[in-house]
Amino acid sequence: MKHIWILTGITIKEGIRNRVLLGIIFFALVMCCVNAVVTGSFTRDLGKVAVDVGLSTVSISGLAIIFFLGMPLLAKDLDKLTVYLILSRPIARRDYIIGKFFGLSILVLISVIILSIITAISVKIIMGLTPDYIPELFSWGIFGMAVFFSFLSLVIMTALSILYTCVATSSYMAFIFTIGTYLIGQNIELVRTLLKNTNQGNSFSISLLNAASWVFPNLSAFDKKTVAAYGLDFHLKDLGMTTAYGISYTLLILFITVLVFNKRELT
Amino acid sequence: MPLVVGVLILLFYIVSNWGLQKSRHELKIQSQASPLFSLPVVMVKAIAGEFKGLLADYAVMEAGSIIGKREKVTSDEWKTTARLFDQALELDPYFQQSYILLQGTLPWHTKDYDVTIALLEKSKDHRYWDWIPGFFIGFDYFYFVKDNMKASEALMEASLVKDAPPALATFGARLSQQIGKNETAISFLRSILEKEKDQDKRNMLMKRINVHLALDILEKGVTAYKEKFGKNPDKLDDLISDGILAKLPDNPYGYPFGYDPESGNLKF
Amino acid sequence: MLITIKNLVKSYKKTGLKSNPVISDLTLLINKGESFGFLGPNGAGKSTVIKILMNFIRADSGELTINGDSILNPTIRRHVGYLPEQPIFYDHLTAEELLRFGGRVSDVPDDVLDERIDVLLERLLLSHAKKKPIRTYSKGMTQRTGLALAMIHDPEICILDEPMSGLDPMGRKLVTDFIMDMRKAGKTVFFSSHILSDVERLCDRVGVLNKGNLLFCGPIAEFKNLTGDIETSFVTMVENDNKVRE
Repeated sequence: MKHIWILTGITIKEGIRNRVLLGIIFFALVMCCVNAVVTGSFTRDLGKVAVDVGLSTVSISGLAIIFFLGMPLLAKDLDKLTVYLILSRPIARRDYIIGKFFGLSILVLISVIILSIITAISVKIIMGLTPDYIPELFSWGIFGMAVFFSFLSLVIMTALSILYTCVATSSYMAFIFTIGTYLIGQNIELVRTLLKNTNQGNSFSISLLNAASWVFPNLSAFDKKTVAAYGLDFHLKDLGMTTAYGISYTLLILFITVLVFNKRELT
Repeated sequence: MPLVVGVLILLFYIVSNWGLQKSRHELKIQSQASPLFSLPVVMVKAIAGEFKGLLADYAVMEAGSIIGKREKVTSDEWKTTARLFDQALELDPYFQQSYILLQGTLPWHTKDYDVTIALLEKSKDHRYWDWIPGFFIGFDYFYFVKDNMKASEALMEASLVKDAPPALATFGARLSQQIGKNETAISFLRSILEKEKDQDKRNMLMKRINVHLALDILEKGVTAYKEKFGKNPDKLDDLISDGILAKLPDNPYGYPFGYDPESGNLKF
Repeated sequence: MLITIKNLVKSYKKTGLKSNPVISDLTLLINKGESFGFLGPNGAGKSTVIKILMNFIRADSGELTINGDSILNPTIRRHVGYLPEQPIFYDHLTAEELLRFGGRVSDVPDDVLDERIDVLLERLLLSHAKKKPIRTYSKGMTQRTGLALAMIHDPEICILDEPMSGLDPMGRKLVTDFIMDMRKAGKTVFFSSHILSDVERLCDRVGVLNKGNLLFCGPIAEFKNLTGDIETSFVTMVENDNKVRE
C-alpha cells in the first residue's frame, strides 16, 4: 500500500515539473478571455453561454493533460524503459499500475481544480456585468456538481489511456485508440437514441450498438453542462447511478490493465 | 484471490451500467445539443476547419434525435433544433437532409415561419440545381404565412429551375389570381404528399388534405346558399335544412368547423 | 547458492512457425559473496538473462531463484540492487529525489536514508549535482546516479548490466573501485561486461555466453590459463563455437 503512494508521489512530481502543465493553464486563461469575447456576441442567455464555455474549458484541459502529459510520460516508461527504475524495486507490477493511475488522476485533478476556479471567476465576472441574463435557477452547487462529473469522466479516460499504453505496440497506436474511444464514448448514446426514435437502422446495427454500450464508456452521461448552465433539475438517482457506473467502469479497466501488464515483456 | 476480485468488479460494473441505462431511459435524460453549437456560427466554422461537412451532419443528427423522440418536444427544444439547423446549413448549405428535415418539422410545430423560410433560403441559394427548397418556401408562404404574393413569386422562381415540374408555374399563376384557395392548398399538399415517405408525416398530410376537402365543400355550399337566398347562412346546419348539401363533412380533427355568418368565412 | 538459474530457455517468436532461440538450457549457480562476471559477444543473450532474472521478461521454461525465493516474488528485490544497461530516469527529478524514492520503496528507514544519500553521492562524486535535475547530467553522471540508486538500500546482491558502458577512464576507475568495495563488504556481485581487463580484476568466477549457450563457467584463473591470457581465451572459445555451429 505504501508503495503505491510513493509511486503516486513521484508521478505527480515528474508531472508537475513538466512544462506542459503550465502550457495548459496558460491556455485556460486564454480561454477565459475568449469566454468574455464570445459571450459578448450573444444577445440572450449570456450566463448560460459563459457556463457552457467555462465548463468546456475544464473538460478540454483535462483531456489535454491526459493526451499531452499523462500518455507521453507513460509511453516514455515503456518505450525508454524508465519503468526499470521502478520495477527493479520490491514493488509489484500491480502497484505500478495503481500508483501511476492515482498519480495521473491527481495531475488531472489539479488541472480541473485550477481551471474550474479560473472559470468560476470569469463566469462570476460576466454574470456580474450582465445580471439580467443569469438563468434563474443557476447555482454554484450545481456548477460544482458538473465539474465533479467532468472529472469522473476524465478519470475513466485516464484509466483507459493507461490500458491502451500497456496493450498497444507503439505509443502512437495507444494515442489513436484513446482518442477513438473518447469519440465513441461521447456519441454512443446519441446514435442509439437516434436509431431508436426514428426507427431506422436494421437490427444488426442496433445489436452492435447495444453491445458497444457495454464495452465503451458512456461519456455523455457525465456531461452535465446544460444542467449546470440552466440550473435544471437533477435527479439524485441518476447522479448516484452515474457515479457508481463511473467508479465500476474505472475499476474494471484497471483490473484488466493489471492483468495485461503482468504478462507484458519489458524490453 | 484475484479471480474473486475480478468477478466482484465485473458484477459491480454490470449492475451499475444496467442501472444507469435504465435510469437515463426512465428520466428521459437524453441528447441535448452540444455546447459547441451554442457558439456563434463564425466560431463554429473556424473550429470546424476542414470538417465542416462532418459537423453539419452531426448537427442534423442531434436535431433529428431531439425531433424524433416520442415524447412531446418543448418549445425550447424547437428553438434548439432551429439553431442546430442554422448551424448545419452554415457549415454545409448543400446538405439535402437539413432542409428536408426542417421543412417537415419546424413550420408544422412552431410559428417562427420567418426562421424556417430564412433557413430554406440558405439551401435554395446554394442548391441552384434544386427546385425543392424554393417550392417549400412557396408552400410556407402560402400555407402558413398566408402571403399569396410572396408564395407566387417563390413558386415562379422555383419553376425556372431546370427539371422543375410544370405544376409549379401553374400553382404560382393560380396563387397570383387567388382562385379557390382550398383547391390550391389541396393540390399543393398532394404534391408534397407524393414525395413524403415517412408514414407519420403522410398521415398528417392526408388529414390536412381531408380538412381542406371538407372546407372546400362547405365553402362552395356557402357560396351556393348566398346565390340562392341572397345572404350567408346563419349556421352551417342551414345548408342541410335548406337543401344545399346532403350532409356536413366531418372535421378530421374532431371539433366542429368555425363559421362566421357575417363574412361567410370558415375556419378549422 | 544465492542466485540459481536452472535450465533456462527463452526464445522470441518470429512470424511463422520458426521461433528464434535466444537462451538454450542455461544453468548457472552463483554463490553467496562471490563476484561473477558474465561475458559474451554482443547479442549473446547476457542482457536477456539479467532481464529474466529481474522479471522484466518471462522465461519460456526454467527455474530461477534469488535467496531461495522465486524471482516472480517482488519482495526479493529488497535485497537486490540493479543497474540497467543504459539507465534513463525521469528528467525532472533530482538525484536526491530519485534516491529518496528508491530508498523509501525499498523500505529504508528515513533517518538512515538521508545520511546514506549524502554518503553515496559523495563517494560517486555527484554531491555537486545533488539538487540539479537529472536531465542536466552528463552520460557519466547518469551512469553513476544509476549505480547510487542500485545501492541506496544496501542490498546483498548487485546485478549490474554493463556497468562500465559509456564511462570515460576516470568514471571506469570510480566504478571499478566501487565494485571492489562491494566485494570487500561481502556482497554478491553478478555483472555482465565485455571489457575483459576489468573482469580479470573484479571477478572470482566467470561465465562465457555465446548465442545463448554457456561455453564456460569456472574460476577466472582457470579461464586465463586456457591460453595464457583472458582475451585470447575468450576470442578462441567464441570463434570455435561459431565454427561448430555452421
